[in-house]
Amino acid sequence: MSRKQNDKSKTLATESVLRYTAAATDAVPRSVRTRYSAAIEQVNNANLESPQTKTVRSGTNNNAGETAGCTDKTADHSAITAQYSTTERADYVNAGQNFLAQNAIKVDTITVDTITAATVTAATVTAATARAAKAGVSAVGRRNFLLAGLGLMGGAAAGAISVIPKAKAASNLPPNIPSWSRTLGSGVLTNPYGKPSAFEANVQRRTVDWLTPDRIASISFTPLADLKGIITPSGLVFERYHAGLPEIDPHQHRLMIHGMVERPIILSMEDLMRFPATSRIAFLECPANGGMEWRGAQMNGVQFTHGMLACCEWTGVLLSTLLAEVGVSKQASWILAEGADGAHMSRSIPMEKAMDDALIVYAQNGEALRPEQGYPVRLLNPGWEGNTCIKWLRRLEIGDKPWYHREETSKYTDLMPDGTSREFTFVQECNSVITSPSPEKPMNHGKGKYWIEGLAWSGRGTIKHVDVSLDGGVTFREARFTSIVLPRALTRFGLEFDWDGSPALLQSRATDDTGYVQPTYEQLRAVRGTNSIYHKNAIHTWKVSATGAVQNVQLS
Amino acid sequence: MCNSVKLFRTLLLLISCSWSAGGFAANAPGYYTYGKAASAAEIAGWDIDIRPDGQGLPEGSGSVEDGEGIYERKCAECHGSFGEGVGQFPILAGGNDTLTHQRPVKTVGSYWGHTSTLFDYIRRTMPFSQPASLEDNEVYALTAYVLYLNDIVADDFVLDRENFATVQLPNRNNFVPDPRPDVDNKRCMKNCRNPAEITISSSVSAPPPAALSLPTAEAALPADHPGAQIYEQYCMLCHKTGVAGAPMLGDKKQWDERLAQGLAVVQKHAIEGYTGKRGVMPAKGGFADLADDAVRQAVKYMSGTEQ
Ligand code: HEC
Ligand code: HEC
Repeated sequence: MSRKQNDKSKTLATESVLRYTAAATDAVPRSVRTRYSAAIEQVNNANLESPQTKTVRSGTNNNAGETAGCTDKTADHSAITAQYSTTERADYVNAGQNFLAQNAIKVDTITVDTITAATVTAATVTAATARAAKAGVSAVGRRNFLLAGLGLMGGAAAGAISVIPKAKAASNLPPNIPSWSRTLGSGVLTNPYGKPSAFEANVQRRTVDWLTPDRIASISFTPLADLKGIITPSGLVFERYHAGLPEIDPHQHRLMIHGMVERPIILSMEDLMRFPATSRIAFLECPANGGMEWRGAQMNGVQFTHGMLACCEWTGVLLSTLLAEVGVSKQASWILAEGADGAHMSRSIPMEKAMDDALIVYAQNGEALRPEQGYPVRLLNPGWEGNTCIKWLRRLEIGDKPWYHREETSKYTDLMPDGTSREFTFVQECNSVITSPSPEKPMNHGKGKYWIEGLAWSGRGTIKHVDVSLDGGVTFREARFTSIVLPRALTRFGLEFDWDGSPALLQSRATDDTGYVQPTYEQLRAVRGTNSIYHKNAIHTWKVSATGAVQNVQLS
Repeated sequence: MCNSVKLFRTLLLLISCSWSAGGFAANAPGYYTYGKAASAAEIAGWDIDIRPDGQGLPEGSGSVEDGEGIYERKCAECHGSFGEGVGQFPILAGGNDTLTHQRPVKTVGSYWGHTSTLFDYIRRTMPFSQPASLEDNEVYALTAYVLYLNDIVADDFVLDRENFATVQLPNRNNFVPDPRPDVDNKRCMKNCRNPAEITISSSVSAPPPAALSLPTAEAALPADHPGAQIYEQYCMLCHKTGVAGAPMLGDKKQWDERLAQGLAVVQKHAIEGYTGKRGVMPAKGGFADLADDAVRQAVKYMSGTEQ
């Protein structure tokens, strides 16, 4: 998006915020307010239909929502074409600054928008009500007034907040009985496939447009700050495509296994699911996770500093089972895994991993894999670069040498300061990050007790300790695990922190069961310089200011 | 299933020529017999990979000269006529001796290790918008041309299966195995560093993008559209975020579907109000005083229709 457009949208958004604020604080002409409430009334009445009509309606609604999801893709396509001509070549840092500048603008308005909405709901209404009450509200009528105010705010609030129930916010609080306790909710099958509450609409994957030339070969990030436990909901797992998201008919999808084998075979999804199945929880991390931070702090949220990360329960067939079935030659030592997407993504996988814990996955968190995650079948190499976990898997070729394909030479090799590059750097080493507080989760309750929490993981094994520092790494206190602790899986830690209101530098440092301790930036850079892009697992620092705002910083 | 011949074969295989899974006794090949045997023709259709030793290279050849024309037609729009990269699209040529620089430029010529990688990659996925659409001879020619752009072959070079292995890339010997763990931090708990020496070396001042950044085309819509202001004043309440099922501003698919009934009908619905499949659209959004024309303009704006 060009700077110009951005400015425009800034003005637009700011104006609308002003308008909302104005509306909520009774600057809106009376006639308008009354009509809003009339409109809402109308909507409300219309919803008092027979339950049957309602269900049917909702069903369609749901479908429409799904198709709408696809639109974005098409829309993006044209956006890309438009972008081709406008994008200027910008090197890493220029691009970064550009992004920050743009984001500062964008974010600025958005934040205002939300805060306004939120504050308005809680505070302004009360104030307005009080004022209205004082004035006697002869003209408008208390009820209409509130309806009007809330109707307007509904639009401003993040996400599609339903007009129904549209009762007065304050009257939903004790000692009053909330409107939703006094009305019937929607029936079963309102959402035949359930979805998060509309109030959670801001919990979503996001991208950073300057990272890639388009959204087809691009990445989006998991909103780590809003997640709990260790399982990433399927719809929030970060995306990484090299030729966009293919839509694959599972009935026509095949997995071919050939090469140095006795019995080359072709399996349908049905065939695949007949093999003995196994499930395991494992993290999935793009080796470029945090790669934008090698030269210095650059991203303004944990979603972007660490969000190429997810953890799911994966179900499928052990690759070793399939290899036994085809009879792999003893001379074989590598396997080429290849996707069915337009990129035909390919990586060479050593036989040891294939025989150890590599999994041919067709289900994720209890249901079929999501398209974004490789539907109908993908490879999963627990603890290894996400890039090796080929999605939309169509082919496994058994050979005796690595293939040195583009994704293991041009990309996913780590350039060292002496000009050499490390190849086949598979393992995602021990890492951790505090997800709250974070830029997205500021400490906005003033002094007092805070629950610090975060995630730790290691591709080599199990997390043993996570230590948290509040003073930039001078002293550490061991956090406790608040989740199940599994090898090669996200592990959640937490620690209580009594904040005295002075600025703090928060860090977490994980140790895994091989004894490896998560390094500092200084240690990593001393060996690897700043141009290796991948495998950045340095101890991360959040600066907490006296106001409780949290900022991404790096220390020296 | 388990007749003696099979059992014998199993043992033989396990002992002699097969890998077995992590300590477990693996089943004999064909133990499950699921799926079907892959025929040579089926394999040939999908087996597109090339290895550095030339395994997988198809019959064919292509010259730098042929490559130039194809490249100009199919590649230059993104990668530039000289491989310099347009916009953010990858640079394919140059960057020699920059790998130790502050800003290394990694290209086929400066960074890649094997010619086969180039052939393989072009064949499996380029040109970007038509993956796997090139003839083998075109791939040979394009490979030759990209090599030429990198000064690795001369302008009269013709690449084929036979001479393929003779073309070597400059950076081929600079890849090393993974030596990690390569750092050794200690688990210190107290006095781990001198507080006086801690300085902030870099920081991000932009606030976090905590709130919605829904990928709507909203920002791209012309704000000076005559309908824009009406929309913002009267319609945005529901149509910005989809309140009560209202189609969202910039949701092209939704609007295209609705526009299929004709703009006039959609406008009529907005003016007179109606109950649709998703919810209720109140007449003029509830603002009875709005002029019909204003509503029509707002509809045009919201639906992305030309004014
Ligand atoms: C529409 C734009 C576009 C066109 C046209 C296009 N490419 Fe690409 N090319 C890309 C993108 C985007 C990537 C990176 C894809 C990724 O990272 O997954 C790429 C990557 C490459 C790479 C790898 C670069 C690297 O450093 O890893 C090569 C080689 C390449 N293209 C060659 C070609 C050739 C040859 C053609 C013409 C047949 C072509 N491209 C046409 C967009 C394009
Ligand atoms: C109180 C909420 C609300 C307001 C305010 C509102 N709309 Fe709507 N509108 C809806 C809903 C809900 C629908 C979807 C109804 C359906 O398709 O089931 C809708 C649908 C529409 C449609 C689609 C009609 C069709 O045939 O598909 C148009 C056009 C439209 N609105 C225009 C407007 C305009 C113009 C304004 C402002 C003047 C406005 N709306 C204000 C709720 C609202």
